[in-house]
Amino acid sequence: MLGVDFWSSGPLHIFLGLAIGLPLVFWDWRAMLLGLLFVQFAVGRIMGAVYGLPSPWPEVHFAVLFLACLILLLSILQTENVRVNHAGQFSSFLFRLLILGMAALLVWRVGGSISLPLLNEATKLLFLWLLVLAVLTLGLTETVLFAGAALLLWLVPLQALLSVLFPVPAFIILLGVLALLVALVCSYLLLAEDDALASALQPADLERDILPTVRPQPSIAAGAKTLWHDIAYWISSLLKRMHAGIRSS
Amino acid sequence: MIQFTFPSFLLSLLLLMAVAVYLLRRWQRWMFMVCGGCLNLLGLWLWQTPVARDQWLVARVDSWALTTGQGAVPFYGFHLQLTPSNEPVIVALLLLLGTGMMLLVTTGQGESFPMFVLPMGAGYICMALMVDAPLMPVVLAPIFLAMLMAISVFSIQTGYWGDALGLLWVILPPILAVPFILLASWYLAQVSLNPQDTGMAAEAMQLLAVGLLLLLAPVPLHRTQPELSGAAPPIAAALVVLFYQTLVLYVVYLTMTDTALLRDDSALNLWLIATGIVTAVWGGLAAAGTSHPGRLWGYAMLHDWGLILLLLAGPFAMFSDSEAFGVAHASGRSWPLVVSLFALRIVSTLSAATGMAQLRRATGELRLKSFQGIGTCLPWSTTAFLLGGLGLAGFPLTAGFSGHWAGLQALAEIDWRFAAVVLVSSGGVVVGFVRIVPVFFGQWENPLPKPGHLPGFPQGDAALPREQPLGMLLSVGVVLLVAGIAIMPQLFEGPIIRTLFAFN
Repeated sequence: MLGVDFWSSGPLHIFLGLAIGLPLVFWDWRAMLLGLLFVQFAVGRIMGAVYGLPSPWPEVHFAVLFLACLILLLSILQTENVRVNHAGQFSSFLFRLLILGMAALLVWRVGGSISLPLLNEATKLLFLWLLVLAVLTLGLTETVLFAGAALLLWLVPLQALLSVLFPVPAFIILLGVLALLVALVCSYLLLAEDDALASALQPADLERDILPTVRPQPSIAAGAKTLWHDIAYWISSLLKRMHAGIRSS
Repeated sequence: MIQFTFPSFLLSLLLLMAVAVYLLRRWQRWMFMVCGGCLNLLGLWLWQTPVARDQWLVARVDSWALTTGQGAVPFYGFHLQLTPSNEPVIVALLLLLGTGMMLLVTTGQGESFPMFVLPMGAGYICMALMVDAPLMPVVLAPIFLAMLMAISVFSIQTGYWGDALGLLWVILPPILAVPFILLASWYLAQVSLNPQDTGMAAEAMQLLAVGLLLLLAPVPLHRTQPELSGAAPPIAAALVVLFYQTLVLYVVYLTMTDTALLRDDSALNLWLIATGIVTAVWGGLAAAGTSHPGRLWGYAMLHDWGLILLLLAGPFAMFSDSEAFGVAHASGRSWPLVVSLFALRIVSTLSAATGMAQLRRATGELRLKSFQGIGTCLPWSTTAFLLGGLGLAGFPLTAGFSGHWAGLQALAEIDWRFAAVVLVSSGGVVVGFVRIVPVFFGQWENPLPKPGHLPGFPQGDAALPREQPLGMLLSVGVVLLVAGIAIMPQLFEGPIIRTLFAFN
């Protein structure tokens, strides 16, 4: 098993920072969700190995985030918006690279003067970086998908740090419930964003006599796709985007 | 005899009502009326009943008696209890919920809102009732608020006509506040172990101040109010915003009274003044510039919220001896002003929401163009909307006038420039409403609705929308209430004094 030295090492923290930063630069939701899971896993290991977070909780954190990502994915597979509009790409590749570079510089320069209790310097900087990335993503996105990913990213360091500071099961469970609720809300709104799904539905009979002009609204039941088709599409479009990203850079 | 503690009784009642509203949804209007009436009666009964009594009789049938009384309800380390401190908040939430349900009778607020509103209200009441938890209830407040706002998203979405991302913003302020308040709590716990470490105490206070400020959601975190009022069903939007702000003010009150160092060791006052001014000014400017009636109402609310933030930064000399309300200050803050202004805000907001809901029902739109001449067709609803909106700017002869006037006086005693800036920005809100009055009362030009074009619309020569009898009744009631408070603001003094005694 990997020891404390590995989990507290600087290069690992830098790698984790890149693992979640690069998907934002390329603005790819697949890489973003994978990056989230990877960072959550590694952060859980770090908190367990270095800061003594008891055994079930890192796994619980990962399970919660895995479930949250799965909830998001289920909606993504049902909606056309993510594919057509490149998930609300609000800025160019170079702009995001510039912004993230400036943010990294800011965290590096200002991070020393910010104190997060119990954490060593590397972990503190990593957590600050994750929080800053979450805020930047919220500012750069114009779709619920990346906003949801940003909110989940905001909760990753929070869950890790606060579970160490307040090792109370009820509190840790509350944070987990919050993460799942955020994922559910984003997943629901992802479907609501989809005009194609919205037009597929009719207003409910119940509402007509009260609000005659009610507009069609989407529901989770609408627009289901074949799962295998989606997975194949998922992989092929990821490869295409990676290829396009390499060419454009 | 069956005996419940009051929290068990109240929460069971709310959840039973929620189930009944769902199961009997074919008779939705009747259910709204019955549930709303019951909740209002319960709120008034609680208001009249001294909390100190051990036991209250709720109902008696032959030898069976249902009683409720004092005592905490333990639930996995969380304890819920009715106390003199949280009683006014519970009453306010019950009355708000009851009134909201009554207003739903005439206008649909989306398919899901009626199903969610009662559980949502129960959640907020749970939060207010919480006296003990694994961590301090105040510390957990941002997490609970974020959860409740997330549930609000589900409740509003089906009647929401705006950008989905805008709806997500409602959960942002509490989620952002979570780390700051929890870290502050950890530092405070360390300070109690090592009282000599003043640096840690200062750090805790700064974090707490940031957390509270984020919860209060001033500009630039203000998007919830204009976004919801511009696109969500009006009554639903008003309830979601008012529920949240009621609880946030309560949390701020508890934190300020429990943490004496907060005022001296943090820059909270300065931040409240700065963000309060910016919020009030931005609300006024945006209101003057917008041409969307829904957003105009939202910006008026934002402006009013800015003034409340400014007043939170008190204390103000004119109320330091509290002669105006006959009660002492809570930790030196201007709570009498804040509470009275917030109470008037609730009246004005619900008034505007009642009118706007009728207008939205009639036109099916919230754009200014579709409201051309609507005032001639729905005069009472239009009046309710305009009076409510202007009340949020403190316009004379509206419900908000007395509160705004007192607030401006208090501000002027500290620095006349604050009062002048707020007054000018209030002018912006008034200009916004004055701009739309000629449109509202102009000639009817709305091409919608075409007969038979939309499901449920009356056939034949029905192009001119008219007031529904029940909707008109509600609008007239609201107009009379607003006018009554405007003419005799002392009517409100009794409940506010009672609230302030509880707060102290």
